[in-house]
Amino acid sequence: MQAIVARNLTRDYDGLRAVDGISFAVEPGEIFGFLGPNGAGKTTTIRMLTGQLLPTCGTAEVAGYDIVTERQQLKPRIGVVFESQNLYERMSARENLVFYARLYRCPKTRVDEVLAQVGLTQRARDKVLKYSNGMKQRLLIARALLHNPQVLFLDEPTRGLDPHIAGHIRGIIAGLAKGGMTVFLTTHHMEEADQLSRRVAFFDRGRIVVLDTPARLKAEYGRDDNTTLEDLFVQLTGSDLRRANEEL
Amino acid sequence: MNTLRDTLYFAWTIGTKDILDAVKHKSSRANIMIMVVMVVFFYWFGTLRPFDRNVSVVLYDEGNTRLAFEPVILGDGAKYSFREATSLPEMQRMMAHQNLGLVVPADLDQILSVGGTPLLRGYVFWVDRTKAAEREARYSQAFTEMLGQTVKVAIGPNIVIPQADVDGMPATVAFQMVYFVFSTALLLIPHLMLEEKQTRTLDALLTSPVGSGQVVLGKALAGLFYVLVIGGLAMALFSPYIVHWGLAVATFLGYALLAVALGLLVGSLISSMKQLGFWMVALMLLLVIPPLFYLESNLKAGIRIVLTWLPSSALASLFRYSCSTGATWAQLLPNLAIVTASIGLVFGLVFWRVQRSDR
Ligand SMILES: Nc1ncnc2c1ncn2[C@@H]1O[C@H](COP(=O)(O)OP(=O)(O)OP(=O)(O)O)[C@@H](O)[C@H]1O
Ligand SMILES: [Mg+2]
Repeated sequence: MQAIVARNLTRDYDGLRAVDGISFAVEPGEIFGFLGPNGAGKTTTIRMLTGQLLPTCGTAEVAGYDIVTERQQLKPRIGVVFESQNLYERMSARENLVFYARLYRCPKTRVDEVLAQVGLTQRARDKVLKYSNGMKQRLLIARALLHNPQVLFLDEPTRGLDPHIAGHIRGIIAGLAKGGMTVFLTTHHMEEADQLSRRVAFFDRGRIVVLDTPARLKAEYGRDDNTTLEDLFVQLTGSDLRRANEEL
Repeated sequence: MNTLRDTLYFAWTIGTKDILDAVKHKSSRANIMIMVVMVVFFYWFGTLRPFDRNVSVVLYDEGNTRLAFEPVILGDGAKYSFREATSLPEMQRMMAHQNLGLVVPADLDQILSVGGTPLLRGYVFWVDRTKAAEREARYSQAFTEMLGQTVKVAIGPNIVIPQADVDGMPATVAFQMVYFVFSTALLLIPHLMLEEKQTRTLDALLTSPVGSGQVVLGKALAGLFYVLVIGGLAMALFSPYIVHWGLAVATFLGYALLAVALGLLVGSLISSMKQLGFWMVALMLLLVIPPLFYLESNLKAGIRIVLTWLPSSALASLFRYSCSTGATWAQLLPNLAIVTASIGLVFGLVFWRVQRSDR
């Protein structure tokens, strides 16, 4: 069974096609890098795959369950690190996690486990209001891990973080995949995607442009041995921007 | 499968989160404090009126006293004015809050002329029933001062329960209940829902095993808490006015449920503070203020018929009946029906709205 299967997944926002008939499959235990420029439709894709948004057409299954008709079975099997840091700021980190532990009905001991996993044990009783960007990001990951999901969706988990914390978070992600968790990762950080992902998809204006392992993509599209994933990304996506620049 | 147990569990978990937030955190506590201050101030200023030194006396003269009672300000600053009734029942109907009904005995002139101590029967309102002894002393002293001769006012068991169809304090109290309970619900509940939307914590809730209906039920629970705290405080302050406790409590429950339902409906319709402001003003004008006019007995008949159908008018009427006597089933039942139907209708709208906005 595949961890994620999307078939012709499409979403329109009042006439604007944000995701345009994408099809792909993600293997269990795989880190799948979903890479695209701003506004490409990455968040929209995640919102559909996690049951938050109905596809305009097309279908998808996550952890074996249909995202439209089997949402209730899907929910306990997925974890989401949202693009926005949507935490209860007046509550402490611990209170946030205890609340979600109740909703997922997982034992309270999980709260301490995930706090330790992301290195927030010391500051767990502080209000989220007083947290730095990096701490909030780690708390978001802790929340998504509470119930040990089969599939984890990460929407730009290292955005705006310094290299130390970003490295720490990458370590956590790699560890999760080693433990068998499937990870759907969006990021603008190409080195990170290269380092973590087994396969990556370049995604532009709602469509998948290419999809393969970073090594094979470099072999196929790279100009020389030093070509990085970032070079390929600039080469293969953002056609709008490039055209606009050339016209100037 | 989502059983009723699950639904209650999730609603309870979300509701208690919001209630604890309201109790523990300064900024949320401030919302409740503002409402508490408003209730206490309105009660003090509009109902208790400790600064009001006017005593309006309704006289019923059993004989034909030659004494003319003129408006007078006494040594202690109290201002007495007089109205005349032609019968004892009329005197009782003319009375209102803080009024004194006074029966002047037929032989008053006679007793006064021989230097005796006349006994005047005094009547006070239901709300002042516990203060009868204190009133007796005060009014005895006042009339002794007015007549220049020792007079005794005896109240004893002469307590007047206001009639259901008469203007006065029961109507004021009923309107204030509408105002307190509805403004609490309309201020606080949409805010609870808006906050989850704007901080996008709603997204996290809805990717967890919780359904959108269960989130709304959780908010209903937290909203009910707010309404019971503020409305309960108002009920406690108004308790001296209440005559029929059964009806009063049932009506209060109606206030609470309808207000919560309206709060949820507004919360499910809005996505910004600006829209909340719009709905607040609209519902204040269309629902909260009209009972104020509805309760006036000299309202134009055409307007009255329209306002009769408002659930807020119906609730105000019911609360007024629970603070008075003589309401008939023909007066009670239509109001009960309007309130019950409205609560059902608004909750129905909320769930329709929630289901539609699901994804
Ligand atoms: N709720 C919405 N209503 C209307 N249009 C939307 C909505 N959400 C997203 N869009 C549009 O859909 C397109 C894709 O947006 P999306 O947020 O999925 O992109 P993204 O790849 O996540 O971008 P970023 O890297 O900036 O996060 C954009 O053009 C955006 O303006
Ligand atoms: Mg995005």
